[in-house]
Amino acid sequence: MIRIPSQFIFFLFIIIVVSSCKNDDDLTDIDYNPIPYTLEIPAHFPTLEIPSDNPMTVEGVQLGRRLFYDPILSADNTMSCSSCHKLEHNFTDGNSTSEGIDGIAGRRSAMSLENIAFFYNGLAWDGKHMTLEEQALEPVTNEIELHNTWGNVIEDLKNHDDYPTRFRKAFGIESIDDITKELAAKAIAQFERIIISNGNSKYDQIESGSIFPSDAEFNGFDMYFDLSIDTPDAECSHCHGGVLLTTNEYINNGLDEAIDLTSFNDLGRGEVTGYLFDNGKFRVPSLRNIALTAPYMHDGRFQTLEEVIDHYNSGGHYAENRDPLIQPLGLTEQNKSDLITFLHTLTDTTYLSNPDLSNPFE
Amino acid sequence: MFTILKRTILLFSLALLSLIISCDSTESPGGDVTTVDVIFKALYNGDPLVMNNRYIYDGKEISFSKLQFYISDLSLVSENMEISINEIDFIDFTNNNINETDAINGIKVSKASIPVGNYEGIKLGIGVPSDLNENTPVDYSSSHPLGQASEYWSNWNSYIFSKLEGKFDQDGDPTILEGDILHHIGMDEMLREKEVTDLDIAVKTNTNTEVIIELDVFDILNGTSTNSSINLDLEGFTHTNPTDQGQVDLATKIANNWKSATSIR
Ligand code: HEC
Ligand code: HEC
Repeated sequence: MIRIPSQFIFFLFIIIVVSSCKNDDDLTDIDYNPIPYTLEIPAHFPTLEIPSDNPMTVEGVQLGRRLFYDPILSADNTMSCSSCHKLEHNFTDGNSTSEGIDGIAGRRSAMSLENIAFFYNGLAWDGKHMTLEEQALEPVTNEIELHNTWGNVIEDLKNHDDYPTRFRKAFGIESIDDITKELAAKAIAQFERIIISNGNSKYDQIESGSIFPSDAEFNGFDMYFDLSIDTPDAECSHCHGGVLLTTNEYINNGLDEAIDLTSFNDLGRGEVTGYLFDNGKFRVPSLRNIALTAPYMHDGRFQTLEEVIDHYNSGGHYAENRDPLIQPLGLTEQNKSDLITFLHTLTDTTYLSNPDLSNPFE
Repeated sequence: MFTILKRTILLFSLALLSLIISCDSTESPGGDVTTVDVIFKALYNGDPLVMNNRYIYDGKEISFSKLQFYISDLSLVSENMEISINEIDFIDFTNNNINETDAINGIKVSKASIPVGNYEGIKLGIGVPSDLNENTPVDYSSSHPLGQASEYWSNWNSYIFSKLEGKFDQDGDPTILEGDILHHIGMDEMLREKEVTDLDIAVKTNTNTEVIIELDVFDILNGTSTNSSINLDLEGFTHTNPTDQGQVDLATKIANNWKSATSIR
């Protein structure tokens, strides 16, 4: 017979104690029954494509909503995604360029997240991210944004009294240790996919024939879409066209003169592709709710829509890759004012009152 | 509601189409099928066209920044049958022909399940056929050739069948090319059907058959006669805007030239 040494028994005992401690991290007692999230998408909007590995659930959206509004993501607990993507500014920050936690101004303007779920041709001004899941990882570590590390964030989430349960309910994880940055990003992406406008702006109603535009609105509409020879063609719809009022292409709209294509301050799309002729190109933004998201352009250089129209009317500055549609337009003062009146028909803030979009901590 | 109906019709016709195609293949001699690679190449006056390189047209320096088009109802024709090998594809040289090598290689579109046999001809449409042109990008997924908002004019209810854009020297000093070229062609009347009959295409198993379709941009501008050639100073710009007859006439000219500038090997 072999004698079991008492040290061994003691050792076993320790193991049991330790592993039962570890059981505190076990989440399997909590129900995992996610409810599919029903999105309301206007009938005339494009097909929504959701990645098969991140289906939308009520629990996922609610977790993402919390993470989006929670300063826990930043190094000093002062900023969240919502600091730069504010609901009351149609998910922009109202500044020319955005400042992160260290007060250092970035070089670009915060973009609206309205209808972000439908943009499949790359995200950010230069298209450097392909999916929302991938994009959501970036602001946390970006030095001029949240300037944190994911290691810190995950540690804080694990030690939090609410998040582990929410991760369990959203993703069915079995232990606190299963909380990862990828799951956090998935939840944030689910939340972002519900930021869908109602498709019921005055413009939509004019399009569907349910209301008549005023004369000024009609003339602006006409110029925007090159519809008749009574008014000059403003060419806007060729880039800001389609249901979401963007083609999502990368284009140089003539903001800066560049005799040599390497001389742009911000290389934009060229930074991503490395192709010289992509330098100075930026993604065409959607113009839905454009009256609410001043200042304008990737660096917020224009404070008003009047300045924007003056830019287009001038034909912009020369660069070899300036788009051929950027030409002097010959708009009169009346034309310009009508065009701006039309741009105001794109305003529709009703979607912002969706209770799922607001700050859950308030 | 309407979109759902449209989508159902679309799905139904797709299903029908695939049935028809599969019927065709079973009728083929021997019933063997294989893959055919259709390769699209863009040229300028016979040389591979590299985007943004300088070329000469009408004695002036010229460069191209965008070249893309829809190709529809491509079919292989033999004595007793016609095999449809595509419904619609979007061919975009803009981001493909960015250097000589890529320009020489062209764009390959592989078509599977093509019955082996000898074919004498090829038919194709340049543009979007009217039945498909009734749809809009929201009827398709983003990866479908017809799913791009950038290729559709909502104001004129048509896909943009083809786009050619570039710059040319207007003032005699070619340091800067200040003249703009933008030819966007669309609307049902602009669809061009091309048929080439004197070919000898042997589609065999175990070897990929290549069909090469070339588009010479010089010929799009130069046309086939003085009447059809483009004077860039006056004819640099068209959206096929139906309210502007000048734009429609120019678009018609370009659409005709596009057809004659397309050749098949
Ligand atoms: C310090 C301000 C700031 C913070 C904080 C911030 N963003 Fe942004 N966001 C920006 C700016 C600026 C851009 C444009 C970036 C670029 O083009 O390089 C942007 C772009 C985006 C885009 C792309 C939008 C589009 O239309 O392509 C998404 C999505 C986004 N942010 C989501 C988030 C999420 C999620 C968080 C939190 C994890 C976050 N942002 C935190 C400033 C911020
Ligand atoms: C050739 C394509 C093109 C045309 C035509 C065009 N735009 Fe733009 N637009 C762009 C691009 C690209 C940007 C982003 C540029 C940047 O920030 O560098 C932009 C940005 C804007 C912005 C700023 C959006 C924001 O969120 O900051 C507004 C407003 C705007 N355009 C309005 C118009 C109007 C009105 C017209 C017609 C007069 C027009 N655009 C014509 C391509 C175009």
